[in-house]
Amino acid sequence: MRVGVATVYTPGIFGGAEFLAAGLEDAFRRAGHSLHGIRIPFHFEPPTAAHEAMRQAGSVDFSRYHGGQIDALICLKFPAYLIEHPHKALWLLHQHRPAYDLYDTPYGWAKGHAETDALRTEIIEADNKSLGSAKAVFTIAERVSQRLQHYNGIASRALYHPPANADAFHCAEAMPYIFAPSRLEILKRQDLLLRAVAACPRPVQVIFGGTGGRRAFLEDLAGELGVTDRVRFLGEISRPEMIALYAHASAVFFGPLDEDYGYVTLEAMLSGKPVITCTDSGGPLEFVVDGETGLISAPTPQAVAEALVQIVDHPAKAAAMGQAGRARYGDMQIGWQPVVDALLDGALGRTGTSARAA
Amino acid sequence: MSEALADPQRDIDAILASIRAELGTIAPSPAQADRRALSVVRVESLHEGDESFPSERRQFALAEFEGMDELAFLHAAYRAVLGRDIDESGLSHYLPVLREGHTGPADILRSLRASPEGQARGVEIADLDGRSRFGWAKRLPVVGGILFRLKPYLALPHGQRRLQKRIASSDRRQREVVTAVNASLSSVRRSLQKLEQRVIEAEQAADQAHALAQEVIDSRDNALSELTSARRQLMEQQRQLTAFIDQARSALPEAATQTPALQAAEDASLDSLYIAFENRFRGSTELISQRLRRYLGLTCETPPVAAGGTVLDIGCGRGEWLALLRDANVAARGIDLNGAMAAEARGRGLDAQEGDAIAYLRGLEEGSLAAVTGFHIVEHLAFQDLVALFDAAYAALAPEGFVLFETPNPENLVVGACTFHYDPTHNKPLPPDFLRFIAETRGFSDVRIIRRDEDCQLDQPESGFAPVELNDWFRQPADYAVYARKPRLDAAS
Repeated sequence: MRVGVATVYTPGIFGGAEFLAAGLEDAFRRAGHSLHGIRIPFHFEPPTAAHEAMRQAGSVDFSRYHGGQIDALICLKFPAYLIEHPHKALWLLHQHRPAYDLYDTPYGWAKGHAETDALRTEIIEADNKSLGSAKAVFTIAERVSQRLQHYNGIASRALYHPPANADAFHCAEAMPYIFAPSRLEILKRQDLLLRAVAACPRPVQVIFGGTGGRRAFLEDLAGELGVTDRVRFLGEISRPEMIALYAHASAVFFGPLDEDYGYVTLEAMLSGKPVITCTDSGGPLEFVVDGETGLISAPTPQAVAEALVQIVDHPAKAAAMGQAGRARYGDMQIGWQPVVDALLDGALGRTGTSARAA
Repeated sequence: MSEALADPQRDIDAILASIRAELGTIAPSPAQADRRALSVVRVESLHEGDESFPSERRQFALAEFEGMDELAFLHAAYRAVLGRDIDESGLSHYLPVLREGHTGPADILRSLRASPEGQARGVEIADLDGRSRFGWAKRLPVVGGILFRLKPYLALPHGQRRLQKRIASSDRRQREVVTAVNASLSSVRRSLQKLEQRVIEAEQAADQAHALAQEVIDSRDNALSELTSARRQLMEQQRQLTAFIDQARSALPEAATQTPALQAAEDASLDSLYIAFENRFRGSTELISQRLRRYLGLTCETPPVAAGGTVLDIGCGRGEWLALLRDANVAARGIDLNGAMAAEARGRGLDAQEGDAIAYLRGLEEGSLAAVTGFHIVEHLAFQDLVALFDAAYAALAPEGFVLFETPNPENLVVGACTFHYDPTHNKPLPPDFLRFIAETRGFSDVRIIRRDEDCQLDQPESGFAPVELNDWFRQPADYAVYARKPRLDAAS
């Protein structure tokens, strides 16, 4: 089958969205389909560029492409999903966030600005129309589906995909440390873990993987809290090293604020490690079962410290929760093949409206 | 696990080190290095011992310690002589001095044996004792010697022991690699010897080729000089032929000289206009004198001039050059087609006459002039007249006499494309190499292009012109001169 995958292209950017598109395209190829990558040039500045990109995306016809007919078109990002196609499915990473959840916040468009307000209306109308015209609407995570329901009243189903090198993750002998891999940014809340370590009555050790703008702050905070001896910031680490650090950890901490999805949860489950997360962490809550595959605590140092005590004092239980997480990952059937199957079925209307059922 | 967490020995750095060792990255790469340096545990100090040096053995031979790399040797030496693994401080002391060549394996074995710990064990090492009396080695201290840093690791759980076994086997592999490297090294040395032999052979071949090339150069020079003399003979014959024809023509009865006379009279009416033109564009008398002064040196040095010979300046104009020569005590005469110019020169007490230079030269006795000069003349001539001028000058010159013709330099693109064309009587710009070619082909030698003042030093090489950027084509001097000598008598014949 000839499958088109449409997303946007911004020169110089390769992040989560680009990784996702590459992974999806690879999965389609491995499933034996003929794959056509479609990239709509897009950039955020100036805001009117979004208008022009929308016009462009809405005006092209990719039903015939590269000398043949595209049987199914999978769209990932705004404004690529405005492309018209009779067999179109959406797998939404997120909408154009300045117009939605970031609107009227410091990260999005300001309220009351005539130009962007007009554009916002235009975007919401176009979204309602094009999302409505799609055969099926999927999202990468329940959080995204919730936002879509909230802002556009459109039902969708979350379709989970595996992290990179999923096969390489494994469980090895637990060593006495908590692994906290993530970019060192404010929304990832590594400071919460540091304060929990300081508040914990047991001598807990933590290894942080990843770089970010908050490193100096976090190192200074560790010093102030008197836990410098028990925490290490490794900075940028290689993929094999990260996998080994997952494998030997006693538990994994991942407590971001309102994460969409979060590969860390999945990687910890694949490594057979319990996940410590928070009640407001978003994505991780879709995977972690409190007390069964990990611990969900309130986002306070004391609550997280209590979770740490649980891990330290009950190593056998911690190991069992890790194994339960590994089993849950298997049960959830997270993999590229289910994603490919669901997207194609959705695009071709083979499952009717079931894809719409959240 | 709770005990493990509480165990102070399983601290975070030891954990990191063991995980990295498992990955085969014992030392973090610089990109991964923490700003706060991690005290990574030396995994090699956890060596569980070498099978070939069991602690029960008491007798060894020096040869057994050969063929190991420095690290393996130190492990073996400690196990053999002291019956234990090398400790971290011993390693950090001995490894650098051994690697840097400050001491050798025999010395280290001796000093280990001379230590209290070593004496207590009393191990014998064959071949070592003959040289053991030389005392300085004993001064090497046995560093460290206490096991307590190691103890936690000997008591490590099973997983970590597995890790250490893996490390030991990788050490064995490393030794095999050393052996293989040594084998390749000796084969590289053999190839190097062959290569050197071939270099010697190639050098010999190059010498032969050089000698051959020298022979070729010599024979080429001979051929060239034969060619030059043949050309001179040909020229000589041509000149004689021309003279014969002139004689024959003058002997003819009907001499139609009326038309040229009229023409000359017509041309004379433009003479005063041309003086005005010269004043405007060529420069004042003072300026021209200043420009010409650079040629005085080379003129006076010329043997026929030094011997009192006469310099003929064709197109002498207002006589700037003639005046310079007179002031330098050089006999000089001028000739100019422009009667008004010649008259002005005569008015300044100079020997100048009106007339056609080529005809005048042809009328002179052969070898009667020391030099023929001409400033801004040759660019006025048609090609056949230019050649005729060179030929006539050659005939009139004494051996070693020279011609010197200055002309606008088209290597300066502004001159070639623009200012050259101010003068309505100019024929066409003459590139330096073109005049050089004419001079050479008409029998002259030592041909030289004078672009800059330093080119007037005849014993120095020409400055030449090698443009590397566009601007060079605008920076060239506006005028240049071609200088060429009539060869000496012996060379010409």
